[in-house]
Amino acid sequence: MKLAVCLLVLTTGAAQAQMLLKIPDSFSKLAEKAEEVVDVTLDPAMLGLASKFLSDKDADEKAAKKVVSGLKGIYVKSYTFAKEGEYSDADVELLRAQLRGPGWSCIVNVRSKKDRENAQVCFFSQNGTVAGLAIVASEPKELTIVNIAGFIDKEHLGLLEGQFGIPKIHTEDKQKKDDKD
Amino acid sequence: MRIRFLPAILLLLGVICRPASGAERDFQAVVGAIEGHLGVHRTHIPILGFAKLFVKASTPSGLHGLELATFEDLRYSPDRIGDFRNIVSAALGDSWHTMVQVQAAGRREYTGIFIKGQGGQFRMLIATIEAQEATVVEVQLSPSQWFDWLSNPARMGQRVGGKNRHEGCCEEE
Repeated sequence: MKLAVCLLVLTTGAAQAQMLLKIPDSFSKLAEKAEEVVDVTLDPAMLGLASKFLSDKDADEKAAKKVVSGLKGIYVKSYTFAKEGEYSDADVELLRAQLRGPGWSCIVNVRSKKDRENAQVCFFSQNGTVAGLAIVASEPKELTIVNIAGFIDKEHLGLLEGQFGIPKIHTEDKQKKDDKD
Repeated sequence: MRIRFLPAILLLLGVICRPASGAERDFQAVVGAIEGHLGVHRTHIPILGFAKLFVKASTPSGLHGLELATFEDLRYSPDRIGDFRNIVSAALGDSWHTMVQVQAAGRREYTGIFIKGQGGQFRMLIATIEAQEATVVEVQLSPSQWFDWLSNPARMGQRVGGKNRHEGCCEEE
């Protein structure tokens, strides 16, 4: 029994580690070059506080509570550079390589040739449910990494976009814009 | 002195001289740590205590428990921004969570937003440092206000950190 519990803890721990993107050590150099680095951390303790304090009576708070209650962490890191070319494709590849690991599947790839903007949205699956999400969005002067750990209801994904420091992807707008061009 | 003013004076003294609460102790700990780190004393803000009474009474935007300290005439090296961040975090202790950090090394600016749940309310402490000045603000927020702020923490950090001076920030959706 003890062995089974230990194995369960280890397996859960390993999955938790896999769903959290590791910011490569080389990114500390990017931070030095960046004009601005925004780091948003909503860890399990903070999300726990949020779901504890948010009211069930207020409609907005209730909706927020529903979104937040299944989550184990929201991490956003955004680098803004003064000029183009401060980060390379190789830097972004260090992140994308992690998204090719076990459990991850990338279902949205947005590429805008005109604006040179790329966004990749990937889900981490565990036991048939979505247990994590990652977004890597790159623009010539900006690089944003979003990582959400925890159960994410597909209905709530739209609610998260533009909230908690998570950027709006505007996939439909971009597609239409590219189609026009 | 007319005796009819006595209750009002006692009430005023009670507010001003009340023992420091846990949140105030945290705030004072941060201020003390920053003073030690920067080697300067906080700038005296005339009639701040009086202003705080009005904040307490009127609660603009529902804010409570405003605490404010500023430090001026600094000569702060951008290399030491990491030290500032660590000193604030250490002074606050484990019960506070680091929610947002905005670091602009080029502009020698750092903003840290820390949060703590306390009795069904949230206390939020914002510490900023620029090349020549630093500010520490602490306020108490209701859960709904906190959520409003939480909905866009980067904008919150950028507003406090001065990003709103830059194009593209803080446009309303």
